[in-house]
Amino acid sequence: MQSTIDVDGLTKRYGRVVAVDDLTFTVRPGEVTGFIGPNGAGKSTTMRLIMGLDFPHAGAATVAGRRYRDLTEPLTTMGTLLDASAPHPARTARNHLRWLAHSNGISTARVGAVLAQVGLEPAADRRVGGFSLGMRQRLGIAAALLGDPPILMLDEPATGLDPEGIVWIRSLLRGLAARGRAVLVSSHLMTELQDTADHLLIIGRGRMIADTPTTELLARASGDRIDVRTQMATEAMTVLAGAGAIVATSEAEVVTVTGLPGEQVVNLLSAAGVRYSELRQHRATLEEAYMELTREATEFAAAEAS
Amino acid sequence: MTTVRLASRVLHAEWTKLWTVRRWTASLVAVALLSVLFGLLAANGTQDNTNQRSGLIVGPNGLAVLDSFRYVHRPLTGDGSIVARVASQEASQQGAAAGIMVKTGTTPGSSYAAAMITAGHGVQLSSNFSSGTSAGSGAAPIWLRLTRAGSLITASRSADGLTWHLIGTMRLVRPPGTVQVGLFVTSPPKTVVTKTLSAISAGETATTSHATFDHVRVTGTTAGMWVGQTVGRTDVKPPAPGSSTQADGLFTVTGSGAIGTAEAPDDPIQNSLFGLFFGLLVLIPVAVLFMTSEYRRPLILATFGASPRRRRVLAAKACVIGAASFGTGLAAALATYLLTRPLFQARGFQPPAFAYTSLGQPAVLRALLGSALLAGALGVLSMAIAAMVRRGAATVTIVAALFVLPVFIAAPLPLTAARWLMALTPTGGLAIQRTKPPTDTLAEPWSMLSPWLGLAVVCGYATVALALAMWRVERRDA
Repeated sequence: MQSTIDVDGLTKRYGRVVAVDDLTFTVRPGEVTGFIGPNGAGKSTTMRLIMGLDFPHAGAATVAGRRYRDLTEPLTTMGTLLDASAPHPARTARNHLRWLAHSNGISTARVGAVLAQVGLEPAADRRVGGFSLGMRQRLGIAAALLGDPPILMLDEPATGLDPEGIVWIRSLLRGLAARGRAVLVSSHLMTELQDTADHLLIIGRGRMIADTPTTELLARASGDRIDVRTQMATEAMTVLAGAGAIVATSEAEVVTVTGLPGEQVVNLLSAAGVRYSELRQHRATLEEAYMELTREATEFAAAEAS
Repeated sequence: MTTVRLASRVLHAEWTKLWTVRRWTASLVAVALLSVLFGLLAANGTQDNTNQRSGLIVGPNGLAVLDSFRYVHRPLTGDGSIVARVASQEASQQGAAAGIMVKTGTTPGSSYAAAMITAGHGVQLSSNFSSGTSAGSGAAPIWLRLTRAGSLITASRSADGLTWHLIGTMRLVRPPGTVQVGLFVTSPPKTVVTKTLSAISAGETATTSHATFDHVRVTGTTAGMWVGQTVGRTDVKPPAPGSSTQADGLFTVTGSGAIGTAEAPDDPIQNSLFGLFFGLLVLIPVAVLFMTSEYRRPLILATFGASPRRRRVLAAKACVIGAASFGTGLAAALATYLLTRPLFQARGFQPPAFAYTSLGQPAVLRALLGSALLAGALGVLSMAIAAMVRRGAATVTIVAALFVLPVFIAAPLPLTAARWLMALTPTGGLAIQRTKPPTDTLAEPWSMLSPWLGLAVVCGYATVALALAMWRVERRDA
């Protein structure tokens, strides 16, 4: 069976509020799939529905081809981190992982292994109640890794982590994807997933806004713009505008050029004797791409309303 | 993968969850300590002088007995028999009996064997103050025969004095060469219970019953005349000494009193085990938290994430908390019993007035094991309600209302209403701690229920609550 998460037409309402609205997507192995949207967009609800914790009003979700509730050893199929505050505060980290291991027939040797993997070994026998949020996140990730599952689903795993921890989790996620795991990871911060996610699912108000490879989304937002860093901005703009390009300065000493290939820009500037310190393809941040997308979505919603 | 294997994994996980929260295990230890403490306090605060009372009759097995009746008798030396026809019986109430008896002497408490007809229970055999055994239905007129061979007494009945049916054998305890054989009539006193808000008092009034006998014949070595005698005496008012006349082979006998056990109503085993009630007040919150802690923090996400079969999880939780509660209850009951036993004995709670004191007696074992079962059932009940309510404080309030409140509500109620309240609430489960038969005369309302009925009530509650919780958990968002 393919190690995928398949979501098909999933809908969930709480009273009159539609939390998840007809979502359809697939999380594939060998990729980190970023699940992005502002707080309250329906990311956590979607994950609860995938795990069968809540019941959808329409649609279905399968994990490795089966309903989650039908998995006999779910921890060895999909590891999840839904809420880092789940462990009972009076239990030690080791004992929390121990009961999880028992419940799925996982060897207790794995408990020590995952504690070491997430760097919690020194605190393994301390009670979780005394843990910082970052330590709890690491424990939650350890729990997700416990069954060495081919699929992982992590809700906001970077929350509360220090910069070192954020670097660590990025490399962990990349490593898991590199070893063929399917990874679904959510965040409300675009930048967090910019260098990590291969694929992006962007949702707002329970609806899918974009389901796209990260590179494509960024390319779209970047357009064919080139940034030129130069102390001779005025000269550069004159030369390039003369060759038919659209030019603008967004910050001092940086000229953004649209409508000319990079090679031609180099030739023109060299011929005119304009010195520049850097010339690069303009790269939109995920933030920009996201803002653009959500602006469209907001406008769409506004138009629909009127 | 077998279901058993999967179920045992969930059990293992839930068991790990229970013992890894230290304050829970500490609370379970506190349950046992509290039970013992209150048991010791109860033992220390009581005193019983039934054993010092004058007129205490001790039966052949060393326990207090009732032994008062009208006896028309003559001696029988060596082996022989007595035959009589009970011609008529006029009984004042159900327990009244008329029949024939072989007794080692006329001293109250001496060993006997008897065959009789009773007003409520047909033909009965009775010996040595044990409760009677039935020998079929029947009423006057009826022929009865007792045959003695050493200590062995054989009983027979007949409709016509010709065709006899063996109905049983009994044994006298250390009979002398000469025993007394004859006719007897009993008529137990009526119990009158008066109940006020603060106390229950039980009074008794004497009753009398009559019977006539004919075809009376003794075979074997006998001597002298028939002697009519009132054996024993009762303090019951009004006085009813009994009488007997004999004319042309027709004996008319009027008697009062009863033959049977006469244990004191107090129940030292239950009094000490009642300490467990206070322990249970600590056990209930532990069982509740075992479930509601899953919901207070989103631990339930991890639990159902690891074991998506929710009913299986609830069943495992019920098994784990049930077993832990049972174990705690058993340890508490055993420790309480062992520690309070010498105290109770020193304060007068011992034979002959008090029978149930040793661990080998079925009633004592029942009370100890039953206390543990009560704890187990209450643990499951608390956990099951918690699974539905999901909030700790609310659940504890509900369980307290079901288990504790009826104790106080029953006090001012009339007896019938109080009995119903006990039969319909888990509080009735406390009846399993009693070693004595049900009685209306004690202040504890659950004493009116039989032990097993009381336990069945609380087990019923636990079962229904668990079934509802399982039904609910499958249909609800986690």
